[in-house]
Amino acid sequence: MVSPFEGLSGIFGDVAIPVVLLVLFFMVFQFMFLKRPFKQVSILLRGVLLAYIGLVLFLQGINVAFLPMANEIGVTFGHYVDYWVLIPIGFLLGSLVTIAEPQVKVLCQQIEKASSGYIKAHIMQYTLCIGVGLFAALAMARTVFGIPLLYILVPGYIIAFLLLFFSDKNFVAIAFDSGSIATGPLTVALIVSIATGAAAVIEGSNPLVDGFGTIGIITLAPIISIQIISLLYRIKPPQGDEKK
Amino acid sequence: MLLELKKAAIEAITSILPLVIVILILQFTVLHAPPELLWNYLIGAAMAIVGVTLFLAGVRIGILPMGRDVGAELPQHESLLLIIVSAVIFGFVVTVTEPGVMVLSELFVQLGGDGGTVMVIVVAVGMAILFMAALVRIIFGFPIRYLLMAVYGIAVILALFAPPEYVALAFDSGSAAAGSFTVPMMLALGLGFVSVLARRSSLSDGFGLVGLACAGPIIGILCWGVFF
Repeated sequence: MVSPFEGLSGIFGDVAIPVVLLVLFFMVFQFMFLKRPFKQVSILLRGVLLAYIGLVLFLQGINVAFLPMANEIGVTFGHYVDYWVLIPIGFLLGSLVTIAEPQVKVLCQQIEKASSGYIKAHIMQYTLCIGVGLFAALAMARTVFGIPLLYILVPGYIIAFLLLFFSDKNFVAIAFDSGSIATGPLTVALIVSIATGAAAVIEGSNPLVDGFGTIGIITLAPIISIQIISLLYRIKPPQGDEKK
Repeated sequence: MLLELKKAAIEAITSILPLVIVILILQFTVLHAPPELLWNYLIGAAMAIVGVTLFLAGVRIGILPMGRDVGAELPQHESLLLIIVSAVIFGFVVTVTEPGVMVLSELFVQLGGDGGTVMVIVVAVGMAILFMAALVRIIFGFPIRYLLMAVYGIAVILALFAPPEYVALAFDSGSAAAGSFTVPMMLALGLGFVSVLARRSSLSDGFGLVGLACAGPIIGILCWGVFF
């Protein structure tokens, strides 16, 4: 039996490099310009250390828990005669994964703060959750039916561009940010493993071509869904977000 | 710090537990994965919950204030050069060291592309240039809509001419390049940056850095696919 702690030290090493460099980047600013008191800096550093340990445990958890299970899901349902069941499964897990992804949480809280509470964090969270669910379902449909990636990406981006003309300007930046943020490590591990697991057993699909591209499709979900939500916010114009 | 941890623990449990339970239901109804897999699953899920707790608390205590401080400092020296140099260094360094990008370069080699290291550099340069462009845009007040449309427009047009496996890899790479530390740092940096500038909206100007920067790797890999 594979130990659930195998590979943990490797992740500790991998994640350490970006963390150290990030701290180094801050330290250059600290010594050149910021000159914050030592006590304050030590609190920040303790925070970074916590986040580092946390991320390592989270990634290890993904590797030993969610990755193999997701693969199991892909293979099991890919063997079904009615493998279209993967589509609703994609919706369900896509939504749940968006709730679980910690960086989505950070984003939603930052949006609420920056808009002085006008755009509520939970509204963003639910929008992303439903959006990613639908696009994860679409990504599964692509794997199951072997739809070429461009047939989804090109119309998807055309819709996103058209929405750029109509959506509230306050939401445009958030929408594109969310696109990259919603596809965090958990989403990638879970949804991609289901897709590649399924592609490996479904006849006529190539895991290398049909498994990849899933993230690209899911990236579209927040870009489109947040812009659509912004049309609803248009009825009630934002207040208190312009500063100074 | 303790208060922050407690708050994060509640968030972590309520956000991850639904996923854990649904997968457990699938396990007992259809999957029937072997017991050792289930055992690992339970331990791994617990690790993820503890991990997310520490991560969320740590980000709020350490990473967000750091990003905000650096962001608020950048425009105060009236030096475009300082902003450009810092942005390029930051964008390049965080991407080159990002574990997700390493995984990407291995996939790239599997697809038959030679030169995984060169690919990492292409991705990082793309990210650095667009991150820098995103900050300079805020200074000059260039509308983000047009920049986004131009950047993603180029990506989509390139995608029409690149081999399909490169297209898949490129559009997957955008989010792989934005690591779990990069994202909160960039978010806070953008908000700090606009907080000291007059007549800037924190919503439409403070956000957008991540979205723009992530188009860098997409365009980089697609160029590779089209021209080599």
